[in-house]
Amino acid sequence: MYRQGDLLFVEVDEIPKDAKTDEKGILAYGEVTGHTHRIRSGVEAAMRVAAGVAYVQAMKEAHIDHEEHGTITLPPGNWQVVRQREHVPEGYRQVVD
Amino acid sequence: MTNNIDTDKIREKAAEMAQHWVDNFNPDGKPDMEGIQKLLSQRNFEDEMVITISVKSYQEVSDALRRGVRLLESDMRGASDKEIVAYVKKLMPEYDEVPADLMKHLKSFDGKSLKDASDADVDARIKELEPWRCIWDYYDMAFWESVYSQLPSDKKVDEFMNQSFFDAFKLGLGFCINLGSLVVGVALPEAHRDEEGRLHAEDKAAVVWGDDHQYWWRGVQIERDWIENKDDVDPKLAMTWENMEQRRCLTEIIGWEKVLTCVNQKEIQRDARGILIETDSLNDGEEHPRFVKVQDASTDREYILRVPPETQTASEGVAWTFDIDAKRYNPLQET
Repeated sequence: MYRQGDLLFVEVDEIPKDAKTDEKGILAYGEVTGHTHRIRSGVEAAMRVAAGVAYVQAMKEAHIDHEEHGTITLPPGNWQVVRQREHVPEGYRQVVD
Repeated sequence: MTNNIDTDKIREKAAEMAQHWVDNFNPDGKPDMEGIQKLLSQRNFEDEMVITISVKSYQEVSDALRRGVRLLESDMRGASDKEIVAYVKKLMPEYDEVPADLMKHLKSFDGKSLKDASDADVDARIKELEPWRCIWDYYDMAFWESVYSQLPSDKKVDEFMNQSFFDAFKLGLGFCINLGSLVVGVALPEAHRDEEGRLHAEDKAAVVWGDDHQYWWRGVQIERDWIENKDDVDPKLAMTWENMEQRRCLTEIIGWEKVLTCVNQKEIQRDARGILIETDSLNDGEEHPRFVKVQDASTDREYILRVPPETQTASEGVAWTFDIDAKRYNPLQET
């Protein structure tokens, strides 16, 4: 697994078959900073989304960029993008930045 | 016909010029309104008569256009110099004196006069002039400067290149609405930045544009009260505010010590992943909330994340935030 800020990339065997490709490749967007976690264009990797969960399908090494966090390099494979969460008395909520 | 203009060179030069302006304008954060008005008034392109009005924000543009167009299209034939001066000063209180070419223009204008027209009629005339098609910012100016710099020197080229217009951008002019005989200059917002160029001000609004006041902390937009009334802000907000970046800013503004003292924090455990702390109740139904205090791997900034109250270690808490078992949580790379 790899981590960039509030995103964790966990390798999975396969991506759900009904996942749709998102051409923009922006995995997460910071509401107040405008910063993005994004797949570097030009690399052989695609962002896929199924049931609100993002995946990175990396045919070769995939670089994930961010304005403040260092770039991470995912080896070829299928990666589920896990957003960080936080406890609240009612359960939990996704971390927003 | 041979094309003597090297478009690549223009593009390159324009980008360079625009960057130059971006780097050099507005050095102390506050537009120099007096200087901008003076420079715009000196505009000397093609010996045209020009009325210039400089305003601090976009909110004043409509009024400036209305005053300028009304003045420009006022028939004052037959009026005395004294009457003309009184009329101009009423419309343009910012003018110390009435320029001779404007005086001459008003004495000879014989079009449809807007002098006594209603605001609605003046607005209709402004609409015909399509001012939104005549907006020049420093990128446009850079482009035209680059084009003209490619032309052989002659009077027109030299006049264009020597326009005081260009210098006004360096004093904080944001853009111009250039209707030829009427130029409305609109200043950039007053903006304050930190040493890394991010919008930031510790004791005032970081961005002021007319009535708009925005508060920023190192590139993150925050609540007004966090700056203007920081002593009255409940430190517990720094533990509960939903947006993580804004929450981090609030802890920096108030100070970690004050935040943690206010909630009577106790360290439960610490390890390589962070520090697990427990606090007094935040009045939200949990008696002893627990948090992990962590440091970002890239920025070294400290964040605080709430975890379930049964959490026993910082590692367990961090792993929980990614919905993963503590034994499995082991990133190969973390940035």
